[in-house]
Amino acid sequence: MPEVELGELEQVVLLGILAQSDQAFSLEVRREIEEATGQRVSRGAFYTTLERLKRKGFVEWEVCQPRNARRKGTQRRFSVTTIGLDALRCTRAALHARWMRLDQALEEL
Amino acid sequence: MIRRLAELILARTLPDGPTGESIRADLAEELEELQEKGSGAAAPWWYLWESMKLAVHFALFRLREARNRDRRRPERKHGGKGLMGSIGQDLRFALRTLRRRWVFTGVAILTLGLGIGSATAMFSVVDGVLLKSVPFEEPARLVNVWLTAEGARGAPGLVGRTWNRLPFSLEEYRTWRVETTAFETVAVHNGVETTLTGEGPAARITLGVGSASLLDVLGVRPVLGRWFLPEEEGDGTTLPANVTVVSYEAWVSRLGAAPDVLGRPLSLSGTPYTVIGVLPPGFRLRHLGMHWLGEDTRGFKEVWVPIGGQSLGNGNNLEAVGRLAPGVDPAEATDETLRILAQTGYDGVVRIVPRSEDETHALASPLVLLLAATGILLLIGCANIATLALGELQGRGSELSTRSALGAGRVRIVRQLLTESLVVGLGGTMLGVILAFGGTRALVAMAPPLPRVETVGVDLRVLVFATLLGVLASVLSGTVPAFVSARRSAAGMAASTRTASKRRSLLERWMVSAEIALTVMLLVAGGLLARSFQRLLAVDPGFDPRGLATVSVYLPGEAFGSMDELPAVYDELMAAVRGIPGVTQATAITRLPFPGLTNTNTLHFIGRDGGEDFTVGAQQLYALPGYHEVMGIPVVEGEGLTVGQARDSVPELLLSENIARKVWPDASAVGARLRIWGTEGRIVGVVGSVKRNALGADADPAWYASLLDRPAREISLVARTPGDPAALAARMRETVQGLYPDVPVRQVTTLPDLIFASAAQERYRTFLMGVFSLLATLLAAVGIGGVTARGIAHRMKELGIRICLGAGEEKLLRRVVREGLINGAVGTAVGLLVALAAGRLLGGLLFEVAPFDPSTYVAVAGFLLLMVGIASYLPARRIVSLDPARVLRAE
Repeated sequence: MPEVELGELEQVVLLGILAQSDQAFSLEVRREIEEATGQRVSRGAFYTTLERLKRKGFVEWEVCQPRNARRKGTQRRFSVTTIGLDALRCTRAALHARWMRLDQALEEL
Repeated sequence: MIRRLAELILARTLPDGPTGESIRADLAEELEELQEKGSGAAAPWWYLWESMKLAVHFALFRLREARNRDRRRPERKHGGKGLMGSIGQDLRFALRTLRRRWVFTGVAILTLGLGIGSATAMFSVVDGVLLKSVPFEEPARLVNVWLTAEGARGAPGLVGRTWNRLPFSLEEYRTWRVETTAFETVAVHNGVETTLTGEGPAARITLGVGSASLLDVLGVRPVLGRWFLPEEEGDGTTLPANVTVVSYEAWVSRLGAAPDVLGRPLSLSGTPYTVIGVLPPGFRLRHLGMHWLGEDTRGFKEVWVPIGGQSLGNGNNLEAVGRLAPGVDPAEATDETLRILAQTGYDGVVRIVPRSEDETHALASPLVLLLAATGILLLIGCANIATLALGELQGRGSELSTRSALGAGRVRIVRQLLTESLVVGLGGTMLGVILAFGGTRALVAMAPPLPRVETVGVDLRVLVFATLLGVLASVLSGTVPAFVSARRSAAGMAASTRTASKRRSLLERWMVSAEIALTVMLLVAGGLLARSFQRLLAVDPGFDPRGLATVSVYLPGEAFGSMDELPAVYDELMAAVRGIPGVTQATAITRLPFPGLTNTNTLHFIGRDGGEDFTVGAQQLYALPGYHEVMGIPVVEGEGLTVGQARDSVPELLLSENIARKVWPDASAVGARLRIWGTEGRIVGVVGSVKRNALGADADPAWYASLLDRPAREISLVARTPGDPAALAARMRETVQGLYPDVPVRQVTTLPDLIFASAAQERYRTFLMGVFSLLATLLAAVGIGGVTARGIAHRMKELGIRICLGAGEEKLLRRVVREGLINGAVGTAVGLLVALAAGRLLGGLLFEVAPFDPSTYVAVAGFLLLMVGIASYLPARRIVSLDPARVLRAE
């Protein structure tokens, strides 16, 4: 399991891709994130995060058929790789451990 | 307009390929949605604004990535120390990785070790025999000077190349020595045999004959005493002084290294000589022309005497060496020598050859061929390791991509893999040097007589050669995998694994085909040499060697009296040999075939029916009556040697068939008259021609006379047995020594052994080429097997699915083997084509086999395809035992 902690946006993007499962096209993923978090996500930040996750090997993509008539040009469908999943779990475990320590510290107060 | 500007910005700043294209398509799609919602006028501006924001984001992203990369690779920015540190890191990492992959490491080191070891051992022989210059002062100016007789090329009695290596006569030398200015000094030398008596049992030893200038020309000084003076030479009318210079080795072994050896008497052939000097240890001087002692490969003469003595026969046997004057080129020296020799009546050609070249020219091509063969073997080894390493990369994919993801650049990964390959190369070199020590010894032990072979060994030059080979081999075998992996890691692992693996397996197959092509070349060379050797051994020597044993004896005058008393000694010897149990026949002759000794004499025939007189040069042989019958040489015409006539009656001679056919193609040779020994003799019979020097050469023209008519002191006894001739030879030695304890007995051997030994050069190169080509085949088989096994391991899932879908295992097996065979066929075809093109190089080494011998080519192709089939089949058998369910689960 990779010993990495993901940034917040990275986690959100990975979760967004997982939530869209086989409909994880970039536009859909960004909209899903905006809906889930209730916040606007800047296009630049979103695409560069995808690019970074790709370079780390946490996501992969394939070029597929445009999903509607309006779409002109290349369409990418994203998926989370095994190490991407591991990275998510790892991050969750690390955060969880920290929350646990915080809980203990609060109880001792 | 605005939209076009935005698109321009995006095109310049977004990543290339599908990533950038799909982001642009995303933005375009959102733009369309906006326009559909009715914000038509603002939409282009929104588009431009978003494009600019994206551009800034990606520019910053790139900057950050670059900064991160630099932070991860600090060694790039800190000069030497960082580089050394990172090389050390590479080394440690390489050692760790190689230890973990010990099977690969072991196989690679073994393969390289074999290749480097054989190439190094072969190089040490080539270096010692061919490359190291002759061990004399300033070898560049040292030349051999030959007289040549174009007209004598192929004449009877002049065997092989010797027509252009004719020696000087004493008169020619003496004139030349006085007049030459093109040479600083000139000298002549020759070698004969003599009997040493008075120092232990009588011994036949080699005797060098040299002019007073010989050591000056060679640049050698005696270690004790002096060399001959000009006044000690004979000049044709007066005999030379009875002084002798002994070799260091004879001084030690025969004279007990006595410090007071100078002035001591030494009895050579019954004549007392005075020792005046001792030569330095290891002094060797070969005579290279035709010689009745046969080929002189060692050049070792135990003792030396001055020129001009009677032992030189007609004195026409002096090999000339000269040291060119500074600044004189061989062409000028040739012209001058011709001019001078013309005064003595010589009207032939003069040939000047550097001594080092002259000594080795006949050996160069077979030795270089063998060295090239080891080079090819090493190349096959490198290709093998490279394919192995390519296969290993597959298993190391995640390791390399992790390193790449952690920021290791392409250069760094290439360097890492090359470091690993250099470490393997170092291991291979070390193993190779160890093997080369043993291999060189084996090569020298097996070697036919080669000049200076005693100096062959693994020395610093050879070690440097081995090291260079090791580095070259590491780079050759490491480069391909290193760059493949670098391309792959740069291309990104996940996205293109399939293409990369396809590309790699294509590369692997190319390399295997190359290995097969190289193997084919070696096999063709080995096959041609083997066929040629087989043909050579099958040659009929002209007599029946089976069961023949021989010993040579020398009957010195001191013990056996005058020549007239020798026939009685022959009778005693023959009676004793015939008395040995198991001997069916026995005889004796002056020179047996296959030591290759020559002693040419000219026959002066009297023309028939008033025709002109003519001469024929041929080997003169004296044998006991019954010789031809014992040897199995047919008497073609007339009669054989019967009983000897009295010495003053009409000499009766036999001719070999090849002379008779050539001189009297339409008539009988029997009855021809000739002048010989001051009287008139006649030919009484014709006997079959016999090969005397080499199975591959034409039979030598020869004439025979009765040994009882012309007795000789040195004779070879021959006896035939239905049993073991080697045991008989030993018994013959015992018998002769029992009869005459002081007689030197030499050459205790059998005729089949002598014939076999005459093909020693051919046997040596055939054997070594055979070993090298079989090693190559083995390496290629390992390579093919490995690639097939990896290919199958890689395609397990595909094969599993196919089996699930009902494809028969047999069919899949056939498919895998067929793929292997296609590779094999491509490699074989290329190899055969190259071998065809290179076949000419072998031409000079082949006997009765064309370099393009179709049956060899077909046999090699068949053998290799069979090998490829087996090497593909064995690993492919796994398919049959495949459990598809398990395979698919494992995936």
